[in-house]
Amino acid sequence: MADRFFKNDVEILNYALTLEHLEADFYVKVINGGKLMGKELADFTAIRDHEVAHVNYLIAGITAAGGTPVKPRASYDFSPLGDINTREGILQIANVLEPTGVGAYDGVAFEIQNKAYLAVAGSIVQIEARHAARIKAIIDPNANPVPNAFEQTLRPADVIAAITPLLGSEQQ
Amino acid sequence: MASQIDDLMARAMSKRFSRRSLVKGSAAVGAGALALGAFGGFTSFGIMPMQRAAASPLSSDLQILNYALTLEYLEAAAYKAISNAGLLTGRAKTYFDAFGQQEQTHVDALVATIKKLGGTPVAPAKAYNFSTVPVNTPEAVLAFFKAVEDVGASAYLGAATSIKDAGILEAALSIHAVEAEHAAALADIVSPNAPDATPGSFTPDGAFAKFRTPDQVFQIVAPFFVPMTSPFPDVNANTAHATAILYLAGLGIARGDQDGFYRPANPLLRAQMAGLVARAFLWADEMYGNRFGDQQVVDNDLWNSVGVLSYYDVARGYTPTEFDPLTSVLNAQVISFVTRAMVTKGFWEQELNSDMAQYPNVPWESGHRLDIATYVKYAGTIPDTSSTTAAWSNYAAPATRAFSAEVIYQALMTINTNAQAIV
Repeated sequence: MADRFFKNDVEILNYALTLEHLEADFYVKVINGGKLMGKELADFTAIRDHEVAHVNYLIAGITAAGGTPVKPRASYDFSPLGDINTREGILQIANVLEPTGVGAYDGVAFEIQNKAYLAVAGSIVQIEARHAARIKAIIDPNANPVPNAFEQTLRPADVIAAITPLLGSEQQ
Repeated sequence: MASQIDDLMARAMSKRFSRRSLVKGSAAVGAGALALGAFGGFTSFGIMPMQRAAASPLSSDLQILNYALTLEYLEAAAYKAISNAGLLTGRAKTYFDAFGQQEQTHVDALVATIKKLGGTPVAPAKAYNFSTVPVNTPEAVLAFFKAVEDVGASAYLGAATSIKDAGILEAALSIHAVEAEHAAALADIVSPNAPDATPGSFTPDGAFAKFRTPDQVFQIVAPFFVPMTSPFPDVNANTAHATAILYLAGLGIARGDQDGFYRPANPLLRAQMAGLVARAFLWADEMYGNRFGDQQVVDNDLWNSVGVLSYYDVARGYTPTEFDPLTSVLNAQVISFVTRAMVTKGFWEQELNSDMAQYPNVPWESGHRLDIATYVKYAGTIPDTSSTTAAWSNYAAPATRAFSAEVIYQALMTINTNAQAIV
């Protein structure tokens, strides 16, 4: 097992919040952009609502724990992953963000000390996994949308390196 | 869909399936040593308490791994059975073939992990009872498996916080995500337009997934373990007793005599009752010692169950130091055992009043009226009684094995299997 990356649970919750801010911003932009229709719009709207709920819940939890919730960035840049102004680009970006979220939660869970936070992380990661499969099913309905018997787990250093190009300008 | 699963709970083997060895993982102490049946004699089988104690730091993760393995065996077998039936084509077949293989991969990985940790992987059932699986249309099959995967994901989520080892936690969460992905993918075929946070949805719980406890999960999957034909020559499948006995036998709770007979009309001893209840409520492998001094010829396994139930105040002695294990348990005592177990587990709330019109002949001094009131409130009329307002003439008579099985079964059937919110 890898060494611990974070000093305490609040740091881990803020790490999760950083990812959720990123996801929430993406899906809000997608829905506002009006490029999706029908079932895809409905799916992405549900996903947006979930990510926003995750953000709000984590902010409340961090605050209740006496921590300071990390703020969203002033802007995010999804262009390294795809073009957010096209349906294909949107699916491409989502198809990176969701598996990254799954791997990030699964890869940090063992560091969480408080069982209640672990339960929340498990509850959230399951939703991210469901998003991931749904998006793959949209991208290619006839391919197996669950490519691996075991989801990858990602260590924080790798996740942070991967998302840093997307974080745009400094925090608000 | 949840109710469809719930509906499946109404039926019934693998004699080798042992609920206790699954969940409470006797793995570390060697499942073979636990072959003693619920009614099997009272000889010691030679497991030293120290061995169990030494194994305990790992055994609880092993128990969880065996719990997961039990569910993965079931899933893999179910996918295989459906794939073999040739009902599905196209996209659905692509998904099924892949998911079935992945469940088998989970089985193989769990077996390897359990062995690596020095445990004994639970055996798969010799046969699963898939008679309740809807196979009339591809849609019904898909909806059913979507629900099964949702249950699997909720089971992993419910177990995750109990895992001690970091590596096992990571592996369990990795599988947990895949179960959820299976469910979400199947939903995309069978109910693509189900609104968010409805049973058919790819996210049936909305933004935060809910969990199930092992008690809830076993209650849901129990029908798949009910034997298609009675393993006991003296248990007739057409009686109410038989339904209960086969149900409990499928989960490894009731085991029968070592010669293969159940002898449903025989009286049940108090120690045996403790064993049944401990297994039924997944307590059999917990260890708290035993404050009673009258073990006599009761084997250590059953005596430990007495100790566990005493710890939870489910079993009470005749005196502070005497449990009287070799005496027949009485009918009203069976009700009290089971009621206290359900209350302790949080499934029921203890009634604080008793309507004297209910089973009016049972005296207050018996000490059972509140337990009876609680049992009746949640589980209905007591087995073998015609009405709650009639006299229960044999409340103080020795309980039969059949009666005890029915009382437990009737109680277990009231367990709410709905997933529980974390947030």
